[in-house]
Amino acid sequence: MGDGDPAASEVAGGAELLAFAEAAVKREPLDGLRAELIDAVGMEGAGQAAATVAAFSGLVRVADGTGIPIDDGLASASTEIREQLDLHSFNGAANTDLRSVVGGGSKHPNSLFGGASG
Amino acid sequence: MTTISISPDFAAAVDATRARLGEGGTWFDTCEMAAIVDRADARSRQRATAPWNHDLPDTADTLGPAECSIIDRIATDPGSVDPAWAAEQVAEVGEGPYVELVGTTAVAVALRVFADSVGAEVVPIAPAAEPGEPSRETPDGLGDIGAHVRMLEPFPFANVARALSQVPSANTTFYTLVRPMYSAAGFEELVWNTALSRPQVELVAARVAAINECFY
Repeated sequence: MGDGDPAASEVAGGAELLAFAEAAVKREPLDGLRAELIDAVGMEGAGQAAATVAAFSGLVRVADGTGIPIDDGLASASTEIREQLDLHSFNGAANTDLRSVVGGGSKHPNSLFGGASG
Repeated sequence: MTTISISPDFAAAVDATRARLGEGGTWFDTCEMAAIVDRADARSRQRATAPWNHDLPDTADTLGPAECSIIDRIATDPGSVDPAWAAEQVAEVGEGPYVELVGTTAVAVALRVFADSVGAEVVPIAPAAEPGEPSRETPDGLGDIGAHVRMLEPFPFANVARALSQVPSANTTFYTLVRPMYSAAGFEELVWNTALSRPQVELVAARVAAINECFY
């Protein structure tokens, strides 16, 4: 993995967003970080950040619990960044046969949740 | 304590999700669903401490050891799930129940993480006044896409959207919470006119996925 240096991020409020996300996932003290996040991105933005942390805390569990392979459109597009970040060291990498991506997946990888209403 | 105000949209998503959980599932009834949520919430609430030190609710009358094992693994260490472990659990509880356990645990963890993040309390799930009976039905059209469980195949959207498709009610409950919390502005749109920009949201999402060592 990269070192995730928030100072290297050019995203506005990046340092505060990353610090908040990491502490929230690890259940570290959040009080001061919440205040800093609100200062950086506003109250509504802080709420959206909290919602994103929650949503992805669920999404990673569904993805790894069911063992979905990455979608074929993304498999080829993400080759370089997977290697840069050493994502193949993650256990879930075994769920995707990158020599021949299986399952078809999305023919439109930008359509993430469309139709996922059960 | 500094808290974060919850927008009406997020509050509505939480309420709708909690209401669905209270109605019971496809494989588990209302009492069992409440026990699944309680155990997953307890695991998540104590995520800063070692799992062997966790104080857990007594679910011995409601959930079996295999069901508890699945909840515990998905709640605490989902990145360690591998095909062999998943196959063992599926053989023990059945494929549909496994999917519902994964989905319900994921929802319970997301609800807990959201509450902790904003500085709010988690209220136990209230069973619906007239809960339905588990239908234990499996949809037609399932196929093997190389995952731990069968899913709808073919499917026109991303794999994560069909991960729980073997249990449509679990899929609906999950996206009742996750869709408004992540992609209400439209996943296909690269520019979001929301409080956070798309890059800000994706920065947070990527960090959460990386900490959880999620390859997908």
